[in-house]
Amino acid sequence: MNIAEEFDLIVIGSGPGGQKAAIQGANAGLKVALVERERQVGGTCVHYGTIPSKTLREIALTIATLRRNADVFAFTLKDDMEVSTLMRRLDMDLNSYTDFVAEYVNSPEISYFHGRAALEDAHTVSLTTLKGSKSYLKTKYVVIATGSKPRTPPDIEVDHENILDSDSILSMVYLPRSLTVVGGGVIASEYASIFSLLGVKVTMFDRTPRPLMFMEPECTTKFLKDFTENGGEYIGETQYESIRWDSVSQVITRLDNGTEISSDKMLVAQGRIANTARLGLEDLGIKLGRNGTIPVDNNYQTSVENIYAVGDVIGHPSLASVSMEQGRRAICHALGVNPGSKFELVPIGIYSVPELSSVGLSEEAAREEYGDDIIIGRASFDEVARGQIAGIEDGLLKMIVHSKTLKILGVHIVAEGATDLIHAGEMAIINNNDVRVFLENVMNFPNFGEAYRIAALNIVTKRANALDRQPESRVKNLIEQAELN
Amino acid sequence: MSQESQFTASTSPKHQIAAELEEGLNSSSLELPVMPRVASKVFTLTNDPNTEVSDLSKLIHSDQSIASHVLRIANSAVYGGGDQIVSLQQAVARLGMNLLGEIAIAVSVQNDLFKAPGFEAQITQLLRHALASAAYGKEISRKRRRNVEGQFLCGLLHSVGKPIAVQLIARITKENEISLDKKSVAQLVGAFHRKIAKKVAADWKLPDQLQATTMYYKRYESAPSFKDESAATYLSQLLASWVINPANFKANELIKDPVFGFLNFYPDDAEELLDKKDDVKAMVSAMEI
Repeated sequence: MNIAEEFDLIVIGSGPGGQKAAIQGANAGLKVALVERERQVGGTCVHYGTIPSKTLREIALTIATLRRNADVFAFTLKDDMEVSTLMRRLDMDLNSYTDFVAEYVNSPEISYFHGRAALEDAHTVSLTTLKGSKSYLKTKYVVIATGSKPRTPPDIEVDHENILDSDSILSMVYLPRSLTVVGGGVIASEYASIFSLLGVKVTMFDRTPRPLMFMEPECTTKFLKDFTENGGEYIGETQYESIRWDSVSQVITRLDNGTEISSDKMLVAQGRIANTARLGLEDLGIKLGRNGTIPVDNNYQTSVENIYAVGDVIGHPSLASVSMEQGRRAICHALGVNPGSKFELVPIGIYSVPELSSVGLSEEAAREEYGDDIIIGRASFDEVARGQIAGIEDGLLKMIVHSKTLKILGVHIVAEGATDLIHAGEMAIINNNDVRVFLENVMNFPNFGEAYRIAALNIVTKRANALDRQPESRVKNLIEQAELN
Repeated sequence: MSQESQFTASTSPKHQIAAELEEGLNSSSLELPVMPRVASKVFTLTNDPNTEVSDLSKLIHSDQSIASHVLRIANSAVYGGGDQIVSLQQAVARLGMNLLGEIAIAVSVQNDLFKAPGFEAQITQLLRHALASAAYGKEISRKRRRNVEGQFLCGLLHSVGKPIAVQLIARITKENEISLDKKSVAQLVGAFHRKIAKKVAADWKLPDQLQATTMYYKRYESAPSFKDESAATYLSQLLASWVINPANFKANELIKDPVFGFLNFYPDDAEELLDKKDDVKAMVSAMEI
């Protein structure tokens, strides 16, 4: 085995986790190699996932806004303009983002290799080029950031033509009239709501009674209300019995409750599996977990000391934001550098229409931990001046605090802008603030941040009422507690 | 010297035909004639009350002439309902099989039937190759997670200029009582088919992707747009040639074509594509009229 070159660090995969690890390594003075099997850098995040779906979402919102205001500005949208415009913008955004990422990783300290990597041993990575030639690179450390791909149930024939997955859904060059979405998770809910807003008749079904089961039920109720108002339908607590293409124009889905759904296209969103095949991990003694994921410890170290893994390839939470931080922390650990306090608080952002976002404890989790010692405050966006101005009146911010300390335990938002707005709550939780921080400090006005102030007022009012009524009878106390929670 | 201009410098029969082809290209609208057996199949299917809609759908997908006419008519002012129809699947979903059946009948009645005595075998081979290219185009796009329907059409219509060229040559030779050997016909077709394809793609207002791929599939790297689709079209027609005439190729040489690398296919990806040969053959057999 001839070693072509020696490195301090080899990063396999150029998605968010891999980029961050490579850059962190280069900044620390390591000689870094970054290996990417695709022709362009960026990984699934750029080409099939985060960026394309969010771009499509922005376009759908723009079209919806234009339609809503067409009479105000006395113009009409040409029907045939929408899809072509939509796809052109998608391509433009992808190209510019790919260029940006390429520039970002294109530093003199990072050697970029286009090819497939596999681990020959703990310190040797083989690189196979498109022409099939193989070379070997030596390294002290390896970071695996190879991402994931859609999981396809064996009884659904995903042909990427009529029955698509989340990688091929955006290859469609025209909007179907109808779309069936199999699943109730993040990807399913995002695409279902986006296509619904674009005027596609969307039917989503899943085993769960509501989509996004891990989110606060009040938020998903609002999400479902919007989805339904846009023409979508969610069928819960059901499974498919059969899914078939009719060889003409329709995908026919038969559910176990007897319902038959006919649609132009189908999206199968049934989870993801890690891209760990052909990496040679088993030969190194690394046992793979569920869906091919790589087990790691708190430092993202695998069972082989010098091999780290970050991002989707290690499974939950599979968020680009978390992957980047994992990449940074893996390198810090490898170099013996303190990465800072451990992040335990991970905000969840769902880029559906409307957006949902969440940080900290849910009401259910808070009750489990603190019993009835919690107070819940709510702000409806029709009370928020900026919401009225922007026509975003259907949102909700729900804040959960400890009733004695008033420390914020969790924040849950459903509304346009929720994924941005959540960070104020996240910082308040991280800083151990009590809810009065939103009342005793100045915020811009009019601003969606006012929702925090309204929810905080709601909480302190409930608490004051509760304290005033403490001496009252047991029955009144129970009524009050019911109001309180 | 361009391929077509090499035929226009003297007055041999071949050059005379080349000159007329050139003139015909500039002065008239070009039509893709319908193969008699295709027209016959259209009438059979549409008159049979027991016909399955899937058979009619298959027919529309299987023939260059019907497919291109369906696209043209679906996008015409009469039927066009807003969105541009960019795939046959979309046409089927939007217009419905009854209307498409009527369009197929109209095409078969109103258009010239293919009349090129002596060239039937060549045309059959061309159309089979187009169908195999379409089928392989689907497999390539599936593997790349790109649009499958669009690539099917790119494969089906990539050589649309060739049967038109053959028909034109047959007509000119008949009108001028000229006899041409097969080699000369092949040279003329080779010289003119892309120019014809470019003209018909524009005249028929075919989707942008088809206009680019029919023109640039052999020079995919210099395509001004739809480079990937042009490369995929090139690969699909290359693999179709291999499926139809395997004796002319060595599989291990075939996978060295630079187009595999251009499309980011590693050697094992290429092998997997070659392994689709039997599926493609089966699809061509099932769809061929």
